[in-house]
Amino acid sequence: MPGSGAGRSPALPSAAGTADVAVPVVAMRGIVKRYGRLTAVDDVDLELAGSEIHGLVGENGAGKTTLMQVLAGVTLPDAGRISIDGREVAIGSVSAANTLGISMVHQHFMLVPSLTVAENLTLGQEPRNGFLVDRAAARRAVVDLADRFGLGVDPDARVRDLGVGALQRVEILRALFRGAAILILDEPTAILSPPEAEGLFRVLRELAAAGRTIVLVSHRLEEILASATRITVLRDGRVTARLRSAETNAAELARAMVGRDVALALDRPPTTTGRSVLTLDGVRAPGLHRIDLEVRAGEIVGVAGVAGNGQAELAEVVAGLLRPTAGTVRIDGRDVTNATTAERRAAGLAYIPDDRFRRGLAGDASVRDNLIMGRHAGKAGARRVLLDREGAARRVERLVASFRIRTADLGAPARTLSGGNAQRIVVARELADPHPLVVAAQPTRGIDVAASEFVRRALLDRRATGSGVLLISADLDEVRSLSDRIVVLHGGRIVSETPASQVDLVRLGLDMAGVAGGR
Amino acid sequence: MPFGRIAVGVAVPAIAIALALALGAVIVIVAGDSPLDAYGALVHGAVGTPSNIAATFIRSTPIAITGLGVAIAFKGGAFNLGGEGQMIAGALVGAVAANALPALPAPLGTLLAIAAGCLAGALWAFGPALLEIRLGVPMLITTLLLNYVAALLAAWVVTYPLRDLAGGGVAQTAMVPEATWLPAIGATRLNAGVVLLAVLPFIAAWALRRTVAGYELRMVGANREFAEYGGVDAARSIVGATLVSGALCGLAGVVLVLGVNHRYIDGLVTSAGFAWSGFIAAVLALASPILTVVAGVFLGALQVGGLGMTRATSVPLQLVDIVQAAIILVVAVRAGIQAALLKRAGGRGGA
Repeated sequence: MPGSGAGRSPALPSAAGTADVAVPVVAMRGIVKRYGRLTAVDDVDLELAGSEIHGLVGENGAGKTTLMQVLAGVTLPDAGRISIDGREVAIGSVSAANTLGISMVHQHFMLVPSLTVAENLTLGQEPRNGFLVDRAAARRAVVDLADRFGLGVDPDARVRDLGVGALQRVEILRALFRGAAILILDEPTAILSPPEAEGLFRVLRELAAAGRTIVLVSHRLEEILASATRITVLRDGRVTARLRSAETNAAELARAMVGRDVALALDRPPTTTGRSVLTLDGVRAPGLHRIDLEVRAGEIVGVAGVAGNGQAELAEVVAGLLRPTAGTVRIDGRDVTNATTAERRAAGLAYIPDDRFRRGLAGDASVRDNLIMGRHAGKAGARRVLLDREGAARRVERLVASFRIRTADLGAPARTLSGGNAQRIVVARELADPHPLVVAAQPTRGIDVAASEFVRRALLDRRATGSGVLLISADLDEVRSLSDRIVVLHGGRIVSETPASQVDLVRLGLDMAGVAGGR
Repeated sequence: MPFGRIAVGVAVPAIAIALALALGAVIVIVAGDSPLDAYGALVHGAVGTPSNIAATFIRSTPIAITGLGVAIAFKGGAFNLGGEGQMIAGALVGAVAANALPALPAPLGTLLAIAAGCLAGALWAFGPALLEIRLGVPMLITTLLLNYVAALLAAWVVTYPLRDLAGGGVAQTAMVPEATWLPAIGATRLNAGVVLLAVLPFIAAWALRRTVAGYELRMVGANREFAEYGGVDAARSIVGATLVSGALCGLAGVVLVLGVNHRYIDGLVTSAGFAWSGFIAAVLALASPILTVVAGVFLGALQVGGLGMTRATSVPLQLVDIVQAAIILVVAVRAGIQAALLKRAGGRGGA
């Protein structure tokens, strides 16, 4: 994928930067947005050309979403001017932005689940046939538009029956249906599987080729490099770099985002594997068929697979949140098949769940309360009457310092922290002590580069100090860079198991897709 | 910025009360009276004389204690709407126990009767808790329905098997022995039960903050999946909190019997609406133990003051009901108020 970003887009000025663009489609000048004492966007200039995919990258909290909300009329700036096609405009509301042809495709879909795709798209602007809605015309209009940009969507499907990839295409179609010339997509691939993401980028290229302007907000550097023509990097509300993707690379982008060198490829020194810390023997459960799996001390076993093929169930069976219907689960030699979560923790389990605000944290509880969970009664498995306050205070202080959790107030609700910081709470709590077994499910999903790097290093540290790690991740690069062995789940079965040194990407892809091979 | 959050915690109920009182004032004006006179009479009726203050605290005690019970269940995310039934159970069983006990040295009979009342309240709450944990039957509904069962069962008990034959036509138990009464405080009509208001909320607040069980209960309330993933037995936590909640409601009932009426009388708990006022107090205080008791005393003062207002002016007692109802309405939209306040606090302090 890297390197394919150049030479695809229509005529653009020869050099990066802003000076030589004749009349930019969008020109934002000196945009400032403050929230209390925090300046989210600090005097930012941004120019967008027609027929371009413009990448906007930065860590969480760098101001990229806020900047785009200003353009889309969701947020009013405290200072700055915006021109569209050279004319200065005031964008005071979302509908004002829509009138100007600016549309933001939202992360949470705003569609009516019980209506069909065609009905959703034409809602409020239905073609009429006298007194009645002309359903045929509505359907035709949707099909025409979808065909033009290769957005494969069944116009008669009910929205509630669609998967996330299709829902996103419907959202994009709706924006186009309303005449959007400037499309903003905020982290559009966060919820997509790799093939779905690939399909999305194909559509975006078509749209750009047809003269639309696309802003792609993301912190996934590879996809930005592969699809954007120009890239603007934000850090702490300011522009730190304006680059052409053909002339830069992931390392340079990461440095501009984080402000220092980031090791994208991590050191994985060899370790000697020891005893078995997790053994699954013929485990069956809803969504899992006869799983045999072993994780040994000192190794990371990566689980790859397309979402929904049993990864979540695998993690839950190990953590004790899903009871197996057959087979045995052993943690560090102890049979925990029917043990509670608390007993498994006492047996040596640490667990980073995939959804931090559903299970990993209590959003309304304080950072402090979130950090002591599991150890609030002293050592794991102990049963005391009073909280160990001094021990808890020392522990919280140690975790905040060593895992660099940025919060001014340990009594503040965890919900007020940024995604990366919130994940640091979960990771700190689970990795601070030398548990023999670590189950990490999607440990870096939705968090920025620096936090991801930190989490990956923490997992490698655990490996180096003799823990066994079961890593379940939708990020194939992550699985490949961290794991000693890679197993692929498909349809609730382990379809392959390969030492990381012998992994063949094509083979892996086929396994993930469930194409029966020679195994 | 902890100060901001605490300020918001107090500001929400304060705003609710202020808006409700303002609405009451409008109604008084529309009815052709002076709100100043009406509220003046109300304040005098509540706290104007030592005797009025005593009346306010007598009324507030069961309200605040049931409120505390409701608040503790709230902390674990459990909705105990059965305060009334549990209070009836505590009052009736407390009265029966006090009558059934042999003569004992002074505080012992009282303590045993109180223990019986607490146990009765806890038992009345145990069934719903178990049904919710084992079968998923919402406690919200079962506790509420058991209120009617408790009220009618208690009515039957004091109408037939345990009726006080000396009491003429009144459905009530016999008077409990004087040795089991809660002692009066000085020369006032106040009894020792009021001391609970100064003690219980602090014990509750301490237990929630400092004990393992309290921490686990708060985490279950904040996010049950998180607590279970952390190794907390959420079912046990919820059942335990509901038992404590029922015991506190039972305590409110037995304290009312031993301290004020000295017997169980049919309708003793329901006619005054103690448990519902307690529920309002807990909701108003967002389940903070100390603020719940403050809110309970406030509601007691409002109700006692309302009686004084009715005597002194032509404003009917229903005004108090309107103000209470308006408080609930405002509290119901508190999420919005709170968000607005936090946004401002954040804006000033840079959250």
